Amino acid sequence: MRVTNIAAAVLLVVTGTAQAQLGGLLNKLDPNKIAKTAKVAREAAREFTEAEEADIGRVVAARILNTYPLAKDEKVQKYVTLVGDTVAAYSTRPTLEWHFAVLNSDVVNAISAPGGFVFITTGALKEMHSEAELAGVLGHEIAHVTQKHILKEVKRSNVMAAGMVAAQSTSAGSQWLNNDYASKIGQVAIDKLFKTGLSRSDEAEADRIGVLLSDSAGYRAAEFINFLSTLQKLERTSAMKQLMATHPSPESREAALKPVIPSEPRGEVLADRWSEWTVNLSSGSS
Amino acid sequence: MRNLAMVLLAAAVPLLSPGTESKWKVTKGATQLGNITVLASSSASRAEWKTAEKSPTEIFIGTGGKSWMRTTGGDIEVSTLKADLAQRIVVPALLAPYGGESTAKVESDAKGASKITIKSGGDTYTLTRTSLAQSNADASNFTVRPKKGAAGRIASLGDLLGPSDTSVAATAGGRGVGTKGLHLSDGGDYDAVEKVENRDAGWQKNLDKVLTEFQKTGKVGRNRGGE
Repeated sequence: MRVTNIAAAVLLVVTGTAQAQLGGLLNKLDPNKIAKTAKVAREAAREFTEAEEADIGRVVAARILNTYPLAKDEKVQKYVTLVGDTVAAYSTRPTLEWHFAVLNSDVVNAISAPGGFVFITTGALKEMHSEAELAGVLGHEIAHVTQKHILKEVKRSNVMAAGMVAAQSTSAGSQWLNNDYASKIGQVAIDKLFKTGLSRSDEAEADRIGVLLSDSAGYRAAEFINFLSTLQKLERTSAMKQLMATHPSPESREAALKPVIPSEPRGEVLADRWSEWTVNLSSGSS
Repeated sequence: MRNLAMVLLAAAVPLLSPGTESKWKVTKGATQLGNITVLASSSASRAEWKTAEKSPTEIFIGTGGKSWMRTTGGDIEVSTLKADLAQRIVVPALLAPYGGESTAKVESDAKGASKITIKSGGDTYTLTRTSLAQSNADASNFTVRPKKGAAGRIASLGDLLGPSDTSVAATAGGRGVGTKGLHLSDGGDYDAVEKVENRDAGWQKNLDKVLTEFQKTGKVGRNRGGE
């Protein structure tokens, strides 16, 4: 009996202490902070609006253009725009404001930014032999945009949540992007585009959709396989280093795509037109 | 006369009960094109189309006898989309009568419309309701903000490069979306971005013509002929 009373007394003291501690903790919690944290969590989880996507696209495009300058050859810039517009019309986002541009670099690569920016290097163009190959590569990049692959990486990096905290702590006003925030977003994108690459599944999806887009637009989709074969031959060159670091091997891409390529050859190759429009590339005046 | 009145009355009856959210499977022949979620209010309908689970959502609103598609820079009329786009064929049938009249064949069950069949250009599109629930969608879901200037031309090839008014389209601000003239000091070359945007705006004047010719001669794209 006496033992029971002591146990009950101990229990009361312990419970009382716990309640006091809990009460203390609850007193310390600021409802405003809880609401802000919940808002940050909501922001981090939600989809980007079209306006935000456009802003992020400009940030990423600006970083890309700070890495590689635009090629001066206006003829080839127009050509890439015409082919890009032709293919993009068959994408799931035909009304996006697409911008296609050629970058002056011997590096073999094509990259895209959210909101509709698609870039291809002169180095990549020099390794092509037909308009259909270009259509396949642009289709691949268009797919990265429509499937929001870079946006997904930005979201995954938690930059959005961090940006919200920064915006709240500095009362930054209506402009949601400040220099620091944009710098972080740009870095995530640049790391993915130039260093680590997107996920294998995202690349496979872009390959698949790209081929379907070029086929729908009337190009011979199998020409994209030809381009992958060219890349395979160049695999060990310095111009391919970046592409090899950020993409699956050309062989595996080729193997994965073969079932998607129409078995009956169809669509336009347009090798002659390719040569006419890209004549300045081979003369080195890009 | 009485029959005509009955027909008119039937046409004005909402396809879906106000305050509901229904999901629809869209097929063209045996091929599934995607899924549409439809929110219905007492004066408007909203359709959210996804071709695949992870694909972006396209939003359509039916109100005032017109069907609208949400795009970068504002809403455009669905009737201005390319005639062969599935969205143009399918969506107005779901948004009727708020989005305009529809000649689609509608089958109903006790809960309302359950199957819609549309015949267009030799193809048969079928919309099958897969679920129906109550919804308290906010009025803002049904608000239309028409795209300025280019509402009638969206989805034509030239318009894919932006509005025809180049003074408006010259910068990102002119795109009607995003932060106007966004220029930050974060290590990016925003002058070069603007150069690309201005370049495209400058080309836009002749681009319709050039693109049409380019596609015709190459037998590719929307103007290849035979599409």
